[in-house]
Amino acid sequence: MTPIKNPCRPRHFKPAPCAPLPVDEKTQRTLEAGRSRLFVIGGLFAAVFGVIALRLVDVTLFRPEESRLAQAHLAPRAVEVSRADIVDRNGTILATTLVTPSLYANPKLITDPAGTARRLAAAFPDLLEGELYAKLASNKSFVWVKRHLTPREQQTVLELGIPGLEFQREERRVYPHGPLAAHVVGYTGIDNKGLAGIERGFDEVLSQSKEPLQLSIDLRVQHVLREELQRSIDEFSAIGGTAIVMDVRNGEIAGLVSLPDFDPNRPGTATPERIFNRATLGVYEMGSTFKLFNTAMALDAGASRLTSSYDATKPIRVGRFTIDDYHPKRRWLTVPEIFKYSSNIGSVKMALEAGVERQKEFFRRIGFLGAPTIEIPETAAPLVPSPWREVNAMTISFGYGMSVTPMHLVDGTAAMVNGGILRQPTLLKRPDDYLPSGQQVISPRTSDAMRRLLRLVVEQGTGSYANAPGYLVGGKTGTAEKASGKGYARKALLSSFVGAFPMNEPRYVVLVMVDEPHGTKKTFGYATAGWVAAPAVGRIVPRIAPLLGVSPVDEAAPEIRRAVAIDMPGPQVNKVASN
Amino acid sequence: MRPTSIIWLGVILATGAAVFSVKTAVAGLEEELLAVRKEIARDHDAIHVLKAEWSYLNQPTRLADLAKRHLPGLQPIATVQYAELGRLELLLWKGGEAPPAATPSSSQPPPAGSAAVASVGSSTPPAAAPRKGAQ
Repeated sequence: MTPIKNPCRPRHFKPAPCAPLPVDEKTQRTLEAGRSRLFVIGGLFAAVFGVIALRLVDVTLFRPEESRLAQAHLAPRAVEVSRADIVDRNGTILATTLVTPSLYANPKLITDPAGTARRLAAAFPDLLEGELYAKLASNKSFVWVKRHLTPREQQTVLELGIPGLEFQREERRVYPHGPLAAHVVGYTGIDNKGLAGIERGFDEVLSQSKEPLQLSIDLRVQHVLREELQRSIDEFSAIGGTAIVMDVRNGEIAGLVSLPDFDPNRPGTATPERIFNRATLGVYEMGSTFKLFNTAMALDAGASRLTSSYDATKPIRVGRFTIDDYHPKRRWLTVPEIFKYSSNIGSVKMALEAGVERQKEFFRRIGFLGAPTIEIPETAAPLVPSPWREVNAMTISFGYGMSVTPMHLVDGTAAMVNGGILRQPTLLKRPDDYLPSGQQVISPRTSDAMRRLLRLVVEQGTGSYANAPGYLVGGKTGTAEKASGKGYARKALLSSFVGAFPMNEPRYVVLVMVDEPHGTKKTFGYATAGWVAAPAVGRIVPRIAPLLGVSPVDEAAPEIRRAVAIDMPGPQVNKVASN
Repeated sequence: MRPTSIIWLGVILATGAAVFSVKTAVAGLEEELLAVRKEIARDHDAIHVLKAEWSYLNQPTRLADLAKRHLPGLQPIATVQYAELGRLELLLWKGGEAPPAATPSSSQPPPAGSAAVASVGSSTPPAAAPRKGAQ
């Protein structure tokens, strides 16, 4: 007979050496039930504790990120601004958002509106006591007192210790470079909504992204353009001007300046004419720079060849107008001579030989019939004649009767010299080695001829002051009389020079346009492009070329001569040499 | 009370004390963490402002003015002062003679420059006669 185990017996309890107690049936059953209950409860507890133990091991050893998540409430919210920065192509900040305190008042809590108004007006000279009093005495529970305080101003208010005045954390757009890139970057309103330039064109992107928006412009190039353009404007007492530099290979705008300009930190103080972007919003009759396109059109259509010559002995009469040359030669001129001397008569004849339809089609192809496609909203559609008659074709051949923006001129010129491919201008930095697709608008052969012609103008023609030794600048001058009323103002000129460098393998197009320059003693009273805009380009190129990675070449080297020289056929060569 | 019970009691008290001290230590660390994180956020903010200020201080006009005042000896590099490495060798090869007359700069090439030229000279043979700048 086996001894009956007492379930409650401690482990070390040794039963007294005596005979087991006799247990009756009923007691035994009760003991059995107690044992099994105890077993079940013990099992349950063990299971629960086991789960807790496993979970502990799991959480502490295997899932540390969850425990970190549980601490997330400990992290103070990082100061995040709601609008991304704008940087230039080298990462220099052009626009950023800073957090500033703004002062508001709860008039219901202000016990002494008159005294408060007086003290605030004393602290902020730009606030009017009367207006302040009206606000503070009103029945509202929220009025702005002053937005965007400086830390010092905030301290002043804190020291006043007026109950009912509170600060609200606000964001403010700051432009560290002020007016330097004002027309490109644009500006925002007090609620940080983009109102102009990239700020407006990319308003949504900037307010959603955290990544800075990188522009194609180079601040250093921008500085050179602004400085040299300002110099020309001052020298010739002009009313304004614009300068653009564009990469001919991918359409990136490296610099864009429109003067006079404004400080985007205080757009409210700028006059509309300062905010006006001449480079993309202003449309102008360009004058002789259009001969660049006229010549390319005639050459590309096969209507003219470099060796063709035209009768420029007599002015052309159209109705009551007479078309004559600025420097009349009164003889037959070849195409390179027409270009070099900027002959209006020759250009008209070339255009008429090519035909009105062809001219119109050409300008459509190079994008001169629509607004420039660029990332800022300040663009203007060109003024195009309608209907496009023969007389329009004649005036357009030398740059009158059709108004385009300077951006058109730059983009078109890039296509004329880069092998004939028209690419969309852009203000955003393209990835390295990315070549955007373009349209072939003229043949590479025509483009090669245009390079030589443009170089000719600078080597021997009206653009000689644009020369920058070593950089093979080529370009075309244009002096347009501005339309005034029904006719043209002889004294209100628009002098421009559009060119590219280095002409053996163009990399950048440069445009300088000066609005209403006046001649000086130094220029013998002339305010034409050759005296005004060309020298500015001649100063700009040697300054920006090293920044843009263009190294000077030896202009006398035979391979360079072969790339840029042009045959001047016939006896005219002697005359050129004697000039 | 048997000795085992006393031992268990001791163990329980010790664990309790240990858990309590760990808990207070954790609370202390959390406070410290919070402070550090606040400081990081403040520094981030300060960095942001400083970046804007750095950009402001780098205004080209200001730098040009500073350079004019404090570095009167430095001038922008003139076009004639550029040379390709291959041609530099030709320009300087004649026993360290002065560069050709085409270069108006009076400064002598630094010794480091000529060393670099010498090393280039061993790898690339002169291709053509040196040509003076077109200027």
